[in-house]
Amino acid sequence: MLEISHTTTFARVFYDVETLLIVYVGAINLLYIALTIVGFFALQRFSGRIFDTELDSLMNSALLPGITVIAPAFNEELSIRESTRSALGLRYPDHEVIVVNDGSKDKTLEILIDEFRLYRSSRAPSGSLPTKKVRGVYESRDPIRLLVIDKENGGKADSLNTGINYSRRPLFSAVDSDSLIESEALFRITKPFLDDERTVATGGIVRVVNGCTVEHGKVTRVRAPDTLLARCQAVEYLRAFLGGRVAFSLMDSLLLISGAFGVFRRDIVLEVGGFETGTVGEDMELVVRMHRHMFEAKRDHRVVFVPEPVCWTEVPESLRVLRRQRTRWQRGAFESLWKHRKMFMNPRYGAVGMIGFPYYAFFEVAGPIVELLGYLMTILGLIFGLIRHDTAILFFMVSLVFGLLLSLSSILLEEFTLRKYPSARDLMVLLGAALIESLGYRQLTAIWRFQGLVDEMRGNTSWGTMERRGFKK
Amino acid sequence: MTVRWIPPGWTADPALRVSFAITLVLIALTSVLGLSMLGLKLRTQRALRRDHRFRPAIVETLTAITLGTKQADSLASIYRLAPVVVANVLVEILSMQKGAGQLRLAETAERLGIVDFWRKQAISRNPDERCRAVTCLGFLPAGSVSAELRESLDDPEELVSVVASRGLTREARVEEVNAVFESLPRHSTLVRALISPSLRRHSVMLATFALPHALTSTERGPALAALELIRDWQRALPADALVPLLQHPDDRIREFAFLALPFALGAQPSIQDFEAGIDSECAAVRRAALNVAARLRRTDLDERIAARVSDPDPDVAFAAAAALASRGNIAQLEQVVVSGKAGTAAAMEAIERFRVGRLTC
Repeated sequence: MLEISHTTTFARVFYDVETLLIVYVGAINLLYIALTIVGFFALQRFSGRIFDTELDSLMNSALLPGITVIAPAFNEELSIRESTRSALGLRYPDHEVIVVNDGSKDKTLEILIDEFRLYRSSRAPSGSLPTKKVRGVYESRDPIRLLVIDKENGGKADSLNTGINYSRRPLFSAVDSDSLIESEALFRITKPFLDDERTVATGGIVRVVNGCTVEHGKVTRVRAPDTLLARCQAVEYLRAFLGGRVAFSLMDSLLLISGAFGVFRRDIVLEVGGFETGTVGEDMELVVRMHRHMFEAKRDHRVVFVPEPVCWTEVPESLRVLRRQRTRWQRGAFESLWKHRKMFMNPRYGAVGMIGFPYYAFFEVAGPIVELLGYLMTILGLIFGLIRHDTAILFFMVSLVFGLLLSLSSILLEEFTLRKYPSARDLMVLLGAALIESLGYRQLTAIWRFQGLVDEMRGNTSWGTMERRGFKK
Repeated sequence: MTVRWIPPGWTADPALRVSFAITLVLIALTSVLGLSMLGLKLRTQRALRRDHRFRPAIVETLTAITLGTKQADSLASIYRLAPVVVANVLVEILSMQKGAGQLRLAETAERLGIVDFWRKQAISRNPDERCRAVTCLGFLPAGSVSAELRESLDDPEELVSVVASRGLTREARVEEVNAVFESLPRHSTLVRALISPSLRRHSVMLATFALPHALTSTERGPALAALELIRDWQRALPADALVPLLQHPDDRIREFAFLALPFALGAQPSIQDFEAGIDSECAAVRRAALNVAARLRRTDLDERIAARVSDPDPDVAFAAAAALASRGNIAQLEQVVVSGKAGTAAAMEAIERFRVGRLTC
């Protein structure tokens, strides 16, 4: 051990930084606890029950607004049949499905043409968002509302913009092709638009489909994932959705709707110019831009999170793919915030500027920097004798226990409100993952998120690829 | 007694010790909460299993009461043992009864104090309790609980308004049905969509006064609600009061008026009404006018419709092209395609859909 005197300048700086870190950690943990508590009460109050008993009477209603479900697809030959069937089978009086084949190199388009008896159509777009060249538009000979657009590769945002151009409904929902949507999801997620004309966008809870049984495009048996990595992500998703987003929605300061499934007003999205193609976080960037546009135009609006499970998605089960995903998400978050940094702590942008924006900036974007700095400081402190070993161990245990508390609360919140995991075994598996999450998984994601920030500074704009296993039968 | 929760020899920072202690306390509280919820869940399941044992006897007794072969007193002893099951089964059977059977069950519920219980629950602070209570009250004979149901029409919990509406419209009593109809503008679109089927079976009654009154109202809300219903019901009704709304200054009312027009018996819009709609500045109105002109087979508007195939709004252009295609005017559309003028894409799409047989999909 290289002992350094506690009175040196280095030591004083070290202790000052350490104090700041402790304050930061204390603040973020208290905030997470507060968000979870708010989430609990919001879930108790939520009147989602209206749909459980009333769906049949709504199925023939002419009063519900039409929705276009837009699903970009890139090399999705393994899952495209099921995910398209799932989208077509959604229960809703008036919805159409647009699958945008984004220059796939596999047989995605051929499978769609064969499966749904598609013919080449002359349907013209009604929107004029700039996109990559459309090579062909296909419709089905069968009486199903499916449109398939084949275009040059341009990325997810470009594909969504293409779908928006061809949409003919007042609302659209952006979904990932590898996501499975609950059959009543469209009812649940459009409810805020019916409640309040100010609603411009809504999002719902995304669940992890790994380990579940999928038949004919529907999740027929819910189970916890089989792999430890997927289990940790399942716990993480519960924490993020049930705690964070519910609370921010309640405070009218929601900045993010999951790219896996969200619903937007088509006219407003056209006004703001559609999804940004030059960013990897197009979902968050669009929501922030919509907020900005509406505030600057002094138009009352709201972005709502619907605390109901609406969508199932496949999460990465390899470290390599998970790393790519997390670095990309971090880059996207930073890009979105940096682009609209004018909104930061600006009262002109209401609760979004004063609450949502600072939270994302200080805790989501800067979080990995602070966390890794904390680990580095601890190691340096131990090496130079500036921290006692018992202090370091205790600090680590407090962090571990607090993280466990947050995960445990989220799992309990899920069990006592939504109850999607039917068996006690699944809950025990998730609890086990919650215990292990802070012993490696969390540190890895912090490193990757930090790497994402570094990549952003270096100007790395790649998406990486997601390896699909297809859905479990 | 001293509890040593820090190993001997450790002299950690006091703040850290406090943090650790707080965290352990929170974990303990969460675990207690979890265990108590689990206990509650188990207790509820046990109560359900116990109640299940009484159910066959209760069903038999209530059926006999409904048929008049037994009196309400025969239920008193079982009611003391399993009041919740009795109330639930009573509601199940009541929901399927009308006439004498309904009256007997209502009297039984009154005698056992169940109706009073529901009345109290209908003003509970818990929305779930209010909803259940109002649903149950809605199955009782009309008139006996009309006041409570009317109060619940404006409940802040949407589903309570919906079930109150259903209760009030279960029988064809004019005052109650009109009260529900008049409450519509105060509700969200979703609630109106849920109430609409309940009002549909009284549509002829509403068409004699309430609907025309709403259609001629100077307020926007009642007119829009009335037009929404006419369109949602998809039932031909006397509604000639709708015609003046085709040239209403509010575009949304105009649009809805066109969409409801196919169901308005006796409505005789002039060609000028249609022309004004087809040439409206609002694309939604133009689209609605075109769709309805096609549906009503207004051949006198063919030229106007054909002109709209080159509308700058692609959805309006397609609506015009589809209107022509629906009447088999394929030759006219082919001319547009051949000429290469604006509207070619809409014309081609309409021709394709016509040939594939998917014009209305």
